[in-house]
Amino acid sequence: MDPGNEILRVEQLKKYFRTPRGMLHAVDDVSFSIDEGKTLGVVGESGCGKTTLGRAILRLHEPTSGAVMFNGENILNYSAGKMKAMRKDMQIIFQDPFASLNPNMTVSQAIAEPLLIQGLYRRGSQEINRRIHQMMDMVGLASRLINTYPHELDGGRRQRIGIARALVLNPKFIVCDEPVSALDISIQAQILNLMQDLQQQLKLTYLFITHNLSVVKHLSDDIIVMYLGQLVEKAPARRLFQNPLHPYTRALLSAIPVPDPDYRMERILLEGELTSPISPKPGCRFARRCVCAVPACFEENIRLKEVEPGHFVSCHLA
Amino acid sequence: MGTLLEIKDLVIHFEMDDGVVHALNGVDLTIHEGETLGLVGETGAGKTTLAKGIMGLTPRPPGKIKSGEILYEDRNLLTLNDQEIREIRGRHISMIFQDPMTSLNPVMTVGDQIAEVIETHDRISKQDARRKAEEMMEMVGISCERYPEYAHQFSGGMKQRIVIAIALACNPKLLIADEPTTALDVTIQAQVLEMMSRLKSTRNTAMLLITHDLGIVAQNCDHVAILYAGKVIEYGTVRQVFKQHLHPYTKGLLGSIPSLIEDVERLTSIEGLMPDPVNLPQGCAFSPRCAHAMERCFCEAPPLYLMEDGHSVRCFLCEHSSKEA
Repeated sequence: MDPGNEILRVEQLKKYFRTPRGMLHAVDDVSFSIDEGKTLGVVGESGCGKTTLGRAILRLHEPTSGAVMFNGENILNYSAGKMKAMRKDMQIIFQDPFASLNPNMTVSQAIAEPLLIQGLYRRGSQEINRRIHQMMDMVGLASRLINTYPHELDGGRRQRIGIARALVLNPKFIVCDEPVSALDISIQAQILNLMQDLQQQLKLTYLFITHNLSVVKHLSDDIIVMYLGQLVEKAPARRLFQNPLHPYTRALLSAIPVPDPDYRMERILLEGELTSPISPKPGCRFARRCVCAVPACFEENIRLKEVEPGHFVSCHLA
Repeated sequence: MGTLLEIKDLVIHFEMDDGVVHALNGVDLTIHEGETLGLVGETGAGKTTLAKGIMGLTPRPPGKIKSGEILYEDRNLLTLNDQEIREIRGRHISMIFQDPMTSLNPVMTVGDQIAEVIETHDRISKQDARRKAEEMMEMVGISCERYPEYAHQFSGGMKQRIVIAIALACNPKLLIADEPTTALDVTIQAQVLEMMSRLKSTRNTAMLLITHDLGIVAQNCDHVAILYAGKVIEYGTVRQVFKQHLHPYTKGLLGSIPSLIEDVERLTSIEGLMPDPVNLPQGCAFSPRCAHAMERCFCEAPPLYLMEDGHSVRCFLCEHSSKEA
C-alpha cells in the first residue's frame, strides 16, 4: 500500500463511557486506515459501537485513548482552535434528516451556517448567496426551495440539505452515519447515486456507517465488521462477501433476505442476543452465541490477524 | 386453497382541515387460506391504512370509508357493529404492529397480556388462561419463568416475540403483520421470521405481511401485491413479480436495491417523489415519474389488466398482451 495515499489512520482507538453499572466499552481497540478517495464501510448491529466510532474519530465524543492520524498528524492532540479549523476537512452526514436539521432555519440558513461559523464569508454577502446556490445545485435541490423550512420538505430533500451542509466547506473526509436508513427505497437509491457522483467529482473519502449490508457492499472498497465495540473482520468489500471468515460475519451475511425468490441461502440462525458491553469479560465477545466456539474462546483476548492480503479476522479458528 | 378474505374496491379517505387525503383509492385483493401475501409499498402508499381498515381500526373521523367491501368468510366486515367486529378481532383476524417497543402495555406483566386475549375470547378460568399463556410463551421461545416480567425487561426481539404470542394466542385464521421486523437487527429479524413461518405452517394461519423490504417478501411470501398511491399496481406470485414484473414502478423498485449477488455500478433509481395523497395526479398516479409514460397515461387511469396465471398489472403498456384484449 502506498503510504502517501493514506488520508486517515485510526490506531487502537478506545471510547469508554462511565455508567452506574461499570465501564461501557463502546469502541474497544479499533485500528484501520483509509486511502484518499476510497470508501470504508462499517457494519454491525445496533449497539456495536459503529456510530460512536464515527463520532470519536471527529472528536464529537472525546476518545478515551488511541490516535486518529489525519494526513499524518494526530488530531487528538490538537487544541480547540486548531481542531475548529480542522473541521473544514472533516465533516459528517447524520442519520436522521428529521432530527438533524434545526427546524427554525431555512434551507439557505442551514447551508450557510458552517461558512459563517468558519468565518469564510460575510452574512448576506453576494459571495455567500452564490455559494449556497451552487451547493443546492450540486445536491439536486431546486433553487425555489431556498427559503423553505425542513418541515415543508420530504426526507430525501432534507437529507440533501444534510449533504449540502457537510460539503459546503469543501471537506476531504466525511463520516456518513446511516445517511439513507430513514429513507424509502426509491429515494434511497437517488441519494446513494448522488453520494457516489459527488465522491468522484470532489475526490471525497467516506467512512460509511450502516447496518444495511447490501448498501455497504454497493458503495465500499473495504469493509470492517464490528461486534460489541470490537473489530472482528476487515476485508476488501468483494472478498468479504465471497469468503467471510468470522462466524459472526457469516451469520450476518446469511441473515440478509435476498430479493430473489430463487436464491436460497443456508441460514445460520444465531441463538441469543447481544450481550452487555459493560465491563466485558476477557475472551471473544461473540463466543457465547458462536456455533464454533472452543474453550479457548472464553479465556483469552484474540488479536486481529491477516489471513490473506488485506483480509484480517479476529478468531481463534481462522 | 379457499378464499379467506376478499377486499373489493376499497376506498378510504381522510377528511382533514386542509384537504382530503386519498389514502386508498379502490383496492382489490384476495387472501387465500394458509398463504402469505406480501404487501409492498413506500411511505404513504396506504399499507397501514389497508391493514387498519381490515381490522376495523380506521380512525373515524377523520377517516371515511367511501366504498368497498371486506368479505371475511362471506361476511362484510364493514357492516358489522362494534360488538361483532370485536369477536372477529383477535380470534379470527389479529395484527402485529410495527413497533414492539410501543405496542406492549408497560405496566402489565407480559404474561398477563397474553392471558388477557385468551380470557376475552375463550370462556375459560383464569388458571387455564394462564397455563395457555405460558404455553404460548414457550412456543415463541421465551421461558415461561418470565411470565411475571414487564416489557422493559425484554430486548427488542423478545418483545416482538411476545407481541406475536399475543396475536397467535387464539389461533386466528389471518394474521396481519405490519412491518413486524423493521425495528429489529438482521440476525434477530432472521430469528423472528423463521419462527413466524414455522408457527404459520403448523397452524395453517394465513398472513398479510406488510413490508418495504423486498428481500423479506422474496424469501417468505407466496403472492405479492405492490401498492402505489392507494392502488394495487401489480399482483402475482413471488416469481411473477420478481422475475416477470411488468409495471415500470415494480421494475424501478427492484432496480433501486443494491444487489448482494451481482456487482452493479449504479442503481437505476426512480426519479421524483411519491405523489402527495391530498393532490394526486390525474390519470395514472405513477405517470409523472414513469419513463414510459404516454399522453394517455396523464389523463386516463389504467384498469388492472389480467395477464397469465393470475398475474395482474395496472399499466396501459400491458393492454395488448392482456388476456382480456
